[in-house]
Amino acid sequence: MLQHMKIFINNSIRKLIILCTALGILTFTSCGDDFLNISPQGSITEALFPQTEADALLSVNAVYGTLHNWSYWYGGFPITDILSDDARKGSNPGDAARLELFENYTFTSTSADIFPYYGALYKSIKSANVVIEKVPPIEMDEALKSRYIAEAKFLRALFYFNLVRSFGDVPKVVSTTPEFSLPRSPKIEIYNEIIIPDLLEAISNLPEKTEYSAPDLGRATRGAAKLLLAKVYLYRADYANALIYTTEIINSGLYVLEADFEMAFSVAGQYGMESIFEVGSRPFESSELGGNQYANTQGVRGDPNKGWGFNRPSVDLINSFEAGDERKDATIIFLGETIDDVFIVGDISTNDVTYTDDTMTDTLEIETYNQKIWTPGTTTVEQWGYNIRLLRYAEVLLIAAEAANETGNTGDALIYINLIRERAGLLPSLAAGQDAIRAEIRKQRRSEFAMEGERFFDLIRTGTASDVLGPLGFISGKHELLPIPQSEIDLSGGTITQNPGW
Amino acid sequence: MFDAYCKYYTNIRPMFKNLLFYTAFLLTVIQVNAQTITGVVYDKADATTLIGATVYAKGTTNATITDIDGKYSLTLQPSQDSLEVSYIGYTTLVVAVSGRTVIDIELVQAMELLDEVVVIGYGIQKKSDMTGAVSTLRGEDLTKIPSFSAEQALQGKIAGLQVASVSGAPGSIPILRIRGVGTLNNSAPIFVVDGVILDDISFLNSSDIQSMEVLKDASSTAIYGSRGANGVIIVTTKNGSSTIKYEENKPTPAVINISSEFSVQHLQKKIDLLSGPEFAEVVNEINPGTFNNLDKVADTDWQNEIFNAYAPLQSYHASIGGSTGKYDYYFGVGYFLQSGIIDNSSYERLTLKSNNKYTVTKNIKIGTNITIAPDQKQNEAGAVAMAYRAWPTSVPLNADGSFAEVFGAGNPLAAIEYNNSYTSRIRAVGNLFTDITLLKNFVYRSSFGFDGSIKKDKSFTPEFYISPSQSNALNDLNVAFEQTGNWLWENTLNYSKTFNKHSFNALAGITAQRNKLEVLSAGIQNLIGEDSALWYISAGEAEYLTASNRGEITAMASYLGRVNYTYNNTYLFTASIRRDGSSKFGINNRWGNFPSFALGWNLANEAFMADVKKISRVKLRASWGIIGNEKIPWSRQYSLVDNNINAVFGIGEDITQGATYGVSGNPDLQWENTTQSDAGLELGFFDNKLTSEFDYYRKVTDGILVDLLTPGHLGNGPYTTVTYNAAEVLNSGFEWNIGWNERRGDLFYKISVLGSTLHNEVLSLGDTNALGGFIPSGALGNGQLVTRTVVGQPVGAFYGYEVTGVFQTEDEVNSTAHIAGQTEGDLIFADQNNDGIIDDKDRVFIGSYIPDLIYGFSLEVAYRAFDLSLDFNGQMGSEIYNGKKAVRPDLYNFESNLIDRWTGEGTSDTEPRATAGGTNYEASSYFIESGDFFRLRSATLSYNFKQSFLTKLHLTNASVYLRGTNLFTLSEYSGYTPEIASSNALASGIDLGVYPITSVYSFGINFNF
Repeated sequence: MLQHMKIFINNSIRKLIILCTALGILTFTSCGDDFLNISPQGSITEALFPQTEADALLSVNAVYGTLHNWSYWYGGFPITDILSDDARKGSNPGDAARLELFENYTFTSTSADIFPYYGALYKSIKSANVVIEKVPPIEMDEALKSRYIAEAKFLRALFYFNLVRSFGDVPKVVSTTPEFSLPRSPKIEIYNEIIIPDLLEAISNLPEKTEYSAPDLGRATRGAAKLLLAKVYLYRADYANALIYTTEIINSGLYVLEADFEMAFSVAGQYGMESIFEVGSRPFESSELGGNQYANTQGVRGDPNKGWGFNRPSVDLINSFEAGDERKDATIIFLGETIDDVFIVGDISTNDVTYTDDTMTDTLEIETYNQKIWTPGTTTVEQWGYNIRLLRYAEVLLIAAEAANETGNTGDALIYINLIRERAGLLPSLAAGQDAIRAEIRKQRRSEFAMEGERFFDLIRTGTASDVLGPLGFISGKHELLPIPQSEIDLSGGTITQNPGW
Repeated sequence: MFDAYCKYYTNIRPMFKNLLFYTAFLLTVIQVNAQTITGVVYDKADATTLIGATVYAKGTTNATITDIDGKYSLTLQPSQDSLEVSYIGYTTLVVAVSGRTVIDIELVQAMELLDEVVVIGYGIQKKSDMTGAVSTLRGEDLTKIPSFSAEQALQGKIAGLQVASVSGAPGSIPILRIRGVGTLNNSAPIFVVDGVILDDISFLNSSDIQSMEVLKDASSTAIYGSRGANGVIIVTTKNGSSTIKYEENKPTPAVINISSEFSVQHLQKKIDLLSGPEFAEVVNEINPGTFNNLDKVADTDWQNEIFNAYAPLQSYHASIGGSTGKYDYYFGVGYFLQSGIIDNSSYERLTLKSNNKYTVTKNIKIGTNITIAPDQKQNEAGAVAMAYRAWPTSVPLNADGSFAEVFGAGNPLAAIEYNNSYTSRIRAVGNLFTDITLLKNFVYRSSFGFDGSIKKDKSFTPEFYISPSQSNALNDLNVAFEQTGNWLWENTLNYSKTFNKHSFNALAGITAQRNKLEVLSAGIQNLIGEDSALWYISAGEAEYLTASNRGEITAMASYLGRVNYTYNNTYLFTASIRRDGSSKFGINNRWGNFPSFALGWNLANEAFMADVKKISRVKLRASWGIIGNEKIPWSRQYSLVDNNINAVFGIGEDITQGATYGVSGNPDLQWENTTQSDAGLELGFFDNKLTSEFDYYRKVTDGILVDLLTPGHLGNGPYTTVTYNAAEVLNSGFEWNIGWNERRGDLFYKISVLGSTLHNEVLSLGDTNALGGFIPSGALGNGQLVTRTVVGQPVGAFYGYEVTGVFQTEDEVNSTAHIAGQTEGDLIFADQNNDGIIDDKDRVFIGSYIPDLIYGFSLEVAYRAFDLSLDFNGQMGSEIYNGKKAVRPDLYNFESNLIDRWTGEGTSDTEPRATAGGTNYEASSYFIESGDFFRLRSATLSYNFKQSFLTKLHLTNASVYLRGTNLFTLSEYSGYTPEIASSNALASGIDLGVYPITSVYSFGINFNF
């Protein structure tokens, strides 16, 4: 049997080999790696971008483009306002009821609105890092190059500032290829190694508002960088520096308050004299086409306005305005108002007035809406065209006032405060002494920046959160920071730690 | 590949000669004029009649088929002097007419009935020679389930194969899993349809299928290399002579078959939800004062609103097939139409099938197998999840008849009404092939396969306003065209030789494949009108135009080889290898080798078994091999640039183009390797009345490709993932398939029991310290992740707190470990580490969707004109995470278990107080339910018409039947169906609100002429 086998196999295999070889040569000589080398279709890889001056511009534009990402704005819903005493969840009881967790401080690290906020900020940071890391080696106009990098650094500082004031210590990412596992860096390190140096470079290399050509209106300016830096110093309680940069802006004469408070926010007042940095948007329901859903999310709910109606001004906010303060009506839309020829009906499924209990004596909320994001018209499309005013001159004055007051210059502080009061239709402040002026500044900040996402951070910064927000559920030692999203901790296997109290 | 066929005939030929000899010897040949011959065809062994045996005038196409009583009637021309009678599983017999007009014929069962020929990769093989684990489905079993999807017929019929529906929506393709979940990536098997490798077979009409073979072990799948790891299903479509493709053409009369089936679908089970008043009461407990007058709240049953009581389903098929001996042909045309139980969801498909084979010369054959299938699906609106969430206190319509605002999730009826989403496609799949016999014993085959399709997605949403969250300010239209063009050229050479007791077969081949896909999509708003005649991009306002265009090209080159050797039909050996190169992987990891080895031993052929009469078959076999899985998107190795991250600048608000880095790719990707061992035992007793097959398998897959969420600081953005080779998973289990069939006079019955156990375990997550040693997944969509994949647990196991009860009193809360804020009436979570604190560290594994046991059971009884067949299937040991119930705190309707909620001390130990958020909604065992079920999958009663009746109508065969599908399902699961599947292995078994699977009642008719 074995012998048969041997002969058989020998003969067979010989024939087989000859035939296979012939077959292979005939049919597949070109087969192999060439056949398998296929470029990705319709996209370029990172290695090929950015390489030219035109690419550099694209990469800078994209950093601004990330501001059109819905999740960028506090994860989509304005949770920082809802956390404050300025606003309640809004909308009607059935819509995104989970946001009530932010009203009463029962949200957790797994809450659906935390991780998109965190993730979107880092996505924006990555886009800024592309410019900062990849544009320097490009052979191009050096002046333009340094401006592009400065624009990206201004925006990166903005993103990191939002990260640290929301989450505290965060992973420090300054390259397009960060380590997979990064621990959180101390907040102070982020300030000293990223935010402040970035802004200083931006101040050096960015043009002033007036130095940009018309089509570039809306790009980061030296003024914007100075204001952001002053704000950063304010958060760092470095009042001397805050005063330096705000004073420089005031002395530049490039910005003044709008005579009419409403103009500082209205569509008609876009890129007005008070605006220092705003997010240009176009009325299209798509971020690709330049739309931004921020105002639609908060717009008046119901027919004819069709907004979502989140972020409802609270009764406390309504009552907080000084008598005669014109900002009250300019900040809050009440039912029955007529704005830009549109009669505000509101939402049929939301109670006009909601009481805390059956006795109907204690008002919980009144159906009102955020007027600062108002856009004329009755379709959602217009709302997508709203330009968010991120930085404006009023903030320069109030930071200057606070910095002056804290450094003992109460006289200057009062001057700045009274500019704000005057524009609001109020008489000059009678406050005297550092403490009274400090209280007045805090009050003005609330009235001036209501519904702009600042109140919660101001309360934390000034150490008054526990007094003001305690009744809402705020716990000292815990709620000063948002929790790090649980998924980040899970993914890091514990390298990333949770904030205290969570 | 032709060796098996040759061997098949070699075995039969001597018998054939003997019979001829006997008939010639016994009978005298007499020349006669045209005359009609009648008679009955019997089984020689037990004298039962054989239904459907083919009787033809030898060497012609003049033929007939025996009727229900085994009778035939055939008119012969003067030149036709003998009959040839054939029947599947029996030896073909030639009988000289010799002047007789009545000839009863006795057929003998083929020597080895079990020596059916099985289709394997790149060839065919006798079942008795096989060393691999392959299961086959053929015949009527293929068309038992009223579905467009041929895969549905496999449920419960193949040991080791799990078939699970993802959705009951018309046009949904089920998920298939062979031998467990072998990867965290795409665990779907590949299909090989007449030699063309494909990912799905939705274009095939089950009536055009001859057989489906499920290849399970490495010995049978390794020839498919990097695509074989999840198993291979070989589909062979029908040809004219109803034989295995690779056999010789046999003259066969043309047979026309027409079948039609009409069915109604019915939803048997609704989810038990709160009524309006019940819901209002609960809401008032959560948010006091929401409903002021409980007597006046509305009570809408949203499930009744969206589901129709009955929805029709129709299926028609006609075919003609036959062979002239030189030219073998089959043409089939089928039509399928299914309306969903929810309006505006449907599926419609036409299938055109043409298989041809032509013998050019003695050595050369050419042929084609082609299917063309246009289909159209109206996509469902996602109303099921909405109906689940919608507040029962909301009403569907306002007084003026317009859609009312519905709290919770929007108005489901409006979603259905405004849903105009269609997917239509035309797909052509097939191959051209030639078989050339070279020298002696060599056969060269070249097959050029193709799979081309054009798909159009069109969806139009009119302008409407119901509420801010359910509105569309401007009507909009989205259109997408997708073109695929794939080709596969395979060249194989087969050598086979049998001498003395040696039988040797070798296969070598080279193949190349290139797949190309291009998608062009565009969207626009503000169309000039809403009529469907205006649903074109150019009818919209140009300013709103968005368009995208993308494409992908992938290629694979392979070399393959296989050797089979058998000695004395007793000792079997197989070895195979495939070398695959794929463009999907980085240049350093471009090529992989996939070998396999197998041994078999037919003990029954040994001399020492000759005296053991009761045992007709004993075979031991074992195999080992390495196979791969390369099913990942081509782009995952690349870090690509995202275009159109645009900014707006200038007083005129100009859109300004921007581009930046998108999601990072992984340039080190390579395919997964599965190492599989299999040991099998095949037994037959009592002349194979009792047959059984047992397998034990062990499959270890390493380097598993997995899409992982990446840390936020990588800047990929929320909700995005990156692919890594991260994990190692074990699947092991037993499979069994036991059958008993017996004929007793007019009664024939067949019972089969099959099943498989499944042990799924993650062995390693590789060098993934950065991942923390586990992979979180199972997103509920609200930020919660409820599964974890970790070493020692099944893939995608549910992870959360273990609930031990409900806090009854404040004292109990204070004296028990709890989460801050928990109060009486809340769920008690077990303090697993006994540290007095309930936190992340107390989360544990609370279940797995992967069943421990999948089984099927079937019974067939034929008595005279009636046939009854019952198929049952089920699974045990699986869990479901009731995600739809767990997604809060948006206030949705609740399941009725809330009626038994805790309302005070001692009121409930299991159902917590009413809350719409907070700790009771943390991932916990509270949301785990059993996924076990036992289902009457299919029950068919058919009646075969008598020959006397048929003759008048010139029919050869006709039957009518009644069939019920999914008639009942025993399950404790509270949802529509315990089949909760997902193509994502890390996040399967999570019910987030699926389109329910229905029961189907059918009436059908088949006839042949």
